[in-house]
Amino acid sequence: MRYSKNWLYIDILVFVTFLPFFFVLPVLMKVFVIVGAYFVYKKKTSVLWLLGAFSIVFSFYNFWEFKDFRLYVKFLASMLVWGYYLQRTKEVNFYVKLTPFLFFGLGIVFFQNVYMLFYLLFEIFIFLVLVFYRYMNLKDSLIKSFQVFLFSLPLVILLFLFFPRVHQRHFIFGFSGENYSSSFSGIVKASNESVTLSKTPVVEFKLSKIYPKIYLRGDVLNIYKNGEWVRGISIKDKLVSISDLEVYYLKEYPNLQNYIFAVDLPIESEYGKLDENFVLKSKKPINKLLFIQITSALNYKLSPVKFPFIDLVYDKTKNLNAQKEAKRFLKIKDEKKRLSEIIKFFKSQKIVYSLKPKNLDPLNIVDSLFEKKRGYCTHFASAFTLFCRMAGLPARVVVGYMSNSSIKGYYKIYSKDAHAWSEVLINGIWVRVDPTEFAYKNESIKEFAKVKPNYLDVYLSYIRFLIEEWILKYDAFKQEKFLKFFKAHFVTIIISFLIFVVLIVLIAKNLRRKELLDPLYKKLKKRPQKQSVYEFLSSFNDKRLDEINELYQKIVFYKSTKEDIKKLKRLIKNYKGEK
Amino acid sequence: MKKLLTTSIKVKKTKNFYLIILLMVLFFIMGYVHNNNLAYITLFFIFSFSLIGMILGRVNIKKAFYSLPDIRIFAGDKVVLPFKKEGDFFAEIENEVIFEKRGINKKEFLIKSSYPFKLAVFYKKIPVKVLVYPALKGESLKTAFFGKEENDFEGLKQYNYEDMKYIHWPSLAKEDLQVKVFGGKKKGRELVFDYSKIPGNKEDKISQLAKWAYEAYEMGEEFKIILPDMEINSKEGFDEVFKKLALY
Repeated sequence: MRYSKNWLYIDILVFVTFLPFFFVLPVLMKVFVIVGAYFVYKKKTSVLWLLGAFSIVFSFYNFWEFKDFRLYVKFLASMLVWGYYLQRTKEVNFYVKLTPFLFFGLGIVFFQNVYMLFYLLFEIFIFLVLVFYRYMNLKDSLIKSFQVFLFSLPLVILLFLFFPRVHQRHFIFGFSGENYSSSFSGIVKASNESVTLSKTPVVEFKLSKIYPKIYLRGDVLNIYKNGEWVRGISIKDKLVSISDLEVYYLKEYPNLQNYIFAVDLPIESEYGKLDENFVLKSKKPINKLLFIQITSALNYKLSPVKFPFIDLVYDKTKNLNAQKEAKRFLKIKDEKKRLSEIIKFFKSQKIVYSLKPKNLDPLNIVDSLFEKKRGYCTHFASAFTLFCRMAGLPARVVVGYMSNSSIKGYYKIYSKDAHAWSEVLINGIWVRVDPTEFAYKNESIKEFAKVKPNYLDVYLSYIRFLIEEWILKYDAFKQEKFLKFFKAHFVTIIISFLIFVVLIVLIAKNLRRKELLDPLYKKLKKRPQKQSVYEFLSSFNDKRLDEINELYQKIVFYKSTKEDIKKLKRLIKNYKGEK
Repeated sequence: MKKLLTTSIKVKKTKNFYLIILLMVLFFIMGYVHNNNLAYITLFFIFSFSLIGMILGRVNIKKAFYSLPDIRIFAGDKVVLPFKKEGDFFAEIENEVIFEKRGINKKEFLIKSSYPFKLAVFYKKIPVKVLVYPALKGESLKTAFFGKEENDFEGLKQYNYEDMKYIHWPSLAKEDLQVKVFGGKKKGRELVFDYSKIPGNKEDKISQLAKWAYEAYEMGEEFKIILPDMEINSKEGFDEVFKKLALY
């Protein structure tokens, strides 16, 4: 089969732009794409017709599923590829020329992730190479394309940063290419089960500065029943004061739950809804990667709109020893002092932090923790909260995540960072108390060491996060932030940018590898375009050039000796140009 | 070799230029509607490439030089000028031309290139100065001077490096190569072409002289051209004779 150059260009472009879709197509369609290519080669239009119709019908027969936008896109991509195959057996026409553009457009709408960003750059580069390949050989067109690509980079960066953006919501559909992870539930059990730490990522975010400890608010639980904390009817909280505001992007991995783990305390979010206890929840279970802008107050005063009697409830028939102990704290009238005395008492129990507690009685969690002296965050928070209630202070358990390690304010939270702590009402304000901090010592350091995140992983995640935050999610808000930074560091940025431009120009200019025959080409004022060096030099019908040609071919294809190279250089030097 | 001079460059947008604008608008809408930064990035790349493409195209056409080797051009003849590319560039040059007048002709030739993205065609005119020899018109030398045509066969003689067309091929088989001798051709004589004796205007006269001179050279005859104020001898060589005629 004659393979025309027009088809070569179109096939390459269609292949490159279609490739991301190939991986998301249903299996039957994948098979069709591969088998179909053979029938395209054999020009069997009718077979392609039947095969395509069969594959599409059997891949997308369930129309009910079409409410899922992603399925719709898969269907669209399948139709496009089928159409292309049918047209591919004919002459080059408008439809086949349009196909790569359609795939390209669909691709950048539906694939919104870092991989697509790099793939997009690759696609653009391939397009450039094909443009230059019409004029020169492959090697030269690669070099030329790279040069043009490099030269355009500074302009693209400038336009990207300064092109006026409007406040516009990012869309939350399409393929994000992340797996589900689920390790969190709205129930906290103070059971004997030992905990295995997992390194599944949960959320990522970057704050403007480093905080020694960051708490992510998951859920507020206030009823302790049968050894489990659950969410009961809760009194609405209101904000009394806020400071240390952070506006940041939260990247949450799919978890099939409604919780959005925002930095304590979330005030505002572009996605999801805050409940009466400032817990951020999404309407639908999060089944794809979430990337949303949230405002949180790192310093806040939260107060219930009326006294939360429900947060004083405890089972009077359980934890009898603790109840007895708690009585003496009731005498302390000053609530603040009472709390500090409770903390002192809790510390004096010398409870060891352990991921493998033994013989704890969930129903009598306070007594048994004080007796067995081994437990993890859930036990600490449960016991402390109940003890506070016994001592007359309304208290509740908050579950979520806690992290104390960051790279320049970037936090990557894993499942292993799941945590529980208490909130105690002191003088009408909810105060966060993390009873796990009162542990006498940590027995599970080894377990934690095992799941210590790999630095490379964290750094790579950090880079990916920065790209997502500053490129994929760049918007009016980010632009304002950038412009502020730009004004503050005007000279530095300008100088760095100029250095960058100079570097690019230097790299682009030196891309062409120095060739032995370069000085000769200079003398000839010509270089081979779409022909071999041999053909090029022979075309002059010049004896001196023929001699150079022969020697050059020997050096390149047979044997390269120093003497030969020297001789070649001498011949080129002595060559005085065309007669 | 005649080095050519550059003149100003003209740019004409092509259909692709407007298609690219349309494409950029589409990508802008895509970017704007959902703040899709991938669409924005594509848009900015297309913009940068177009801009760089325009610069590359301009540089390319600016580098475009052609030289013209010395060739014999006769007025009124359609010629394909054998332009030679000078340097590393991508362009086309129009090379089919008819020069109507003899003498030094100045003509501008159009170089065009749509390198690299075919967004615009870049044009450049290059002035070319060529010497055009007079048109070969008028009576044939044979009828005017020799009275009878050359093909009046007179006999054979021994081969002595004569023109191939006079070879008597059957003699080759006998291994005794002979050439044909035609009537009207005598050795040692010199033809005289007198300008004043030719009828017609100046151009007719020059064309007639050129035709005779051309044919005389073809036949290997020696001649002398007498012009009102100068004499030209065939011994000066073809190009010199014709140059003088062209410029007269």
